Amino acid sequence: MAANAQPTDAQPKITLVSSDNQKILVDRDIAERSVLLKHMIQDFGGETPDQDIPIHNVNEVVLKKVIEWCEHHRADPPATAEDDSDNRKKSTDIEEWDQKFMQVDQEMLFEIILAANYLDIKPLLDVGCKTVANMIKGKSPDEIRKTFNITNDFTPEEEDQIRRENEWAEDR
Amino acid sequence: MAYAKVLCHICGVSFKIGRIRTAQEPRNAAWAPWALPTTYPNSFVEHNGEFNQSCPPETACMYEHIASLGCKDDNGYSGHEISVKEMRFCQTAQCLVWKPRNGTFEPLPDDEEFEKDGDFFLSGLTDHMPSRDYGNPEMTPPRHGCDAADAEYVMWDENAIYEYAMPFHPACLEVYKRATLRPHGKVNVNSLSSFWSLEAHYNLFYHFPRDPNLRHCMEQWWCHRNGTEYLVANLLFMSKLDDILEAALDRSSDFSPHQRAFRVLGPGTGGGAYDPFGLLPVELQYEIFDYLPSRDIASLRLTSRVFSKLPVTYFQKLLLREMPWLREAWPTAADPGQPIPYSKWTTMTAHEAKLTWDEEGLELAKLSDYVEIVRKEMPELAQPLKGPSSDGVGR
Repeated sequence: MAANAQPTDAQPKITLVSSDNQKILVDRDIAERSVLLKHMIQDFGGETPDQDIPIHNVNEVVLKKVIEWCEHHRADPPATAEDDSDNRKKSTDIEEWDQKFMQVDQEMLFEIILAANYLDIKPLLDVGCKTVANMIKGKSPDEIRKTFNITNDFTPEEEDQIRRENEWAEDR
Repeated sequence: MAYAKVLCHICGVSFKIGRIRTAQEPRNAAWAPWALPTTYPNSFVEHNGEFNQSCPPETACMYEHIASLGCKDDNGYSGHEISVKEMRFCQTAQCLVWKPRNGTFEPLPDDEEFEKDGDFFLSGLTDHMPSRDYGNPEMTPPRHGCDAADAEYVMWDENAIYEYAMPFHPACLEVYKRATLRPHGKVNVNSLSSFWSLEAHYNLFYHFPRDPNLRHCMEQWWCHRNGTEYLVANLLFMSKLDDILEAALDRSSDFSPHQRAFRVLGPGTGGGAYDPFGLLPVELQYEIFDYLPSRDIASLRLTSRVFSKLPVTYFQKLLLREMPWLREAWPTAADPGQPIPYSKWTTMTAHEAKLTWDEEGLELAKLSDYVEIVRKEMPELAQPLKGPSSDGVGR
């Protein structure tokens, strides 16, 4: 769902300050894709705050990337409660634009997930988690380690133990 | 295809199921598809090396076919593959019967909730579903006056749809009830009867997406293929599942579902080995796992000790996602209505239902006799007494 709305000068703007002290100016509706920021802005009595808002946990590079996503999705309708229901199989389909957006190095991918979680941007968090899930899907333990550069530090006994414990997942 | 046979409209399996006993089992552990477990003599008998399935017991039948390991005979399921207990009630059928169209339906004390206000009532049971050409099955007890039901999964005559009754295994109905209870909060039998009314057509019935193995078994007679024993296993009373569940129970006083599901591993040999997943808080790791099937979770557990810490609650969630039909794992807090007891019809054969019915009838008759005696011998007491028949007790 690509956004059609173009930023205009008429849009009230908000200044975010990244963890590395860089100021970033964003349209208020873009900032409000973040539930955290939306609530903060509401705390200002609904007025667009004229003071800077510090984002302690996210650095400039990641914050800009997150804002890029918010800009593209600024006109998305809010998620319905049904989408969040637990206990059912979730699709790992990702729309094309988001797939390209997520073609970043792994460190950035995990940073985006953390930032989306901190800023409470559920749809971005979902895209991030789906991207990681797709990198795991159908792979052998060795392939997963290779993909994520994980060092194998299991003892042979531990590996045996886990293999035995994993019997529940076999033939399924 | 089963042209002459009446099938369960819910699971699609025949009621005419046979069993071939093993050498260790008693005689009544074998029965032919058309006979009851209790009437062994109609069972498989082998005469001069050839099957003679109609050989009466009193004739000189020399041999009975006994299942050996790996028995491929498709005239009955092998005792090596499925126990008598697991096959219990596989021949017992019940029907949903239309209430009288003229509004003369009178409720019974043992009516279920849906019978009170729906369009259908439950018939009694039958252990012998005859082939179509042999007439309608007798139902015991004759609930609401229905002593025989035109049990059909196909409505052959569109002008007589109210004459037909929907056949099923009582256990299948019970599973259906639970399937509707979960999302809707109440048992919805109307949808089931509507499904039957709409789909009671030969082609529609066979094309309905039931278990794919059914089409290998639905022949003129039920083809008891190896590996399809599960199709006739009782859905409610599963002794093997009970054993598995029992073995999985942790009754220790310090048990918490937030504990790790598996044994705790040591700190590892790598000393600060790199793992990007370690950067994510546990709840975000779970967000990712929610997109993965159990096989991938198993693989992940072998990649890093970060994943060795998964708690019991996580596996419960996985179980509910992948096996939503495992009622035993449903959280009771989220389903305060659970567990509803199984209907009494799922716990008896028609034969047993008849015994209970006769016994109740006998008790009732005895009571009537006593009342009659009191009425005659002590007329001063008779005034306040009412005969059990006069206030409609029992039936």
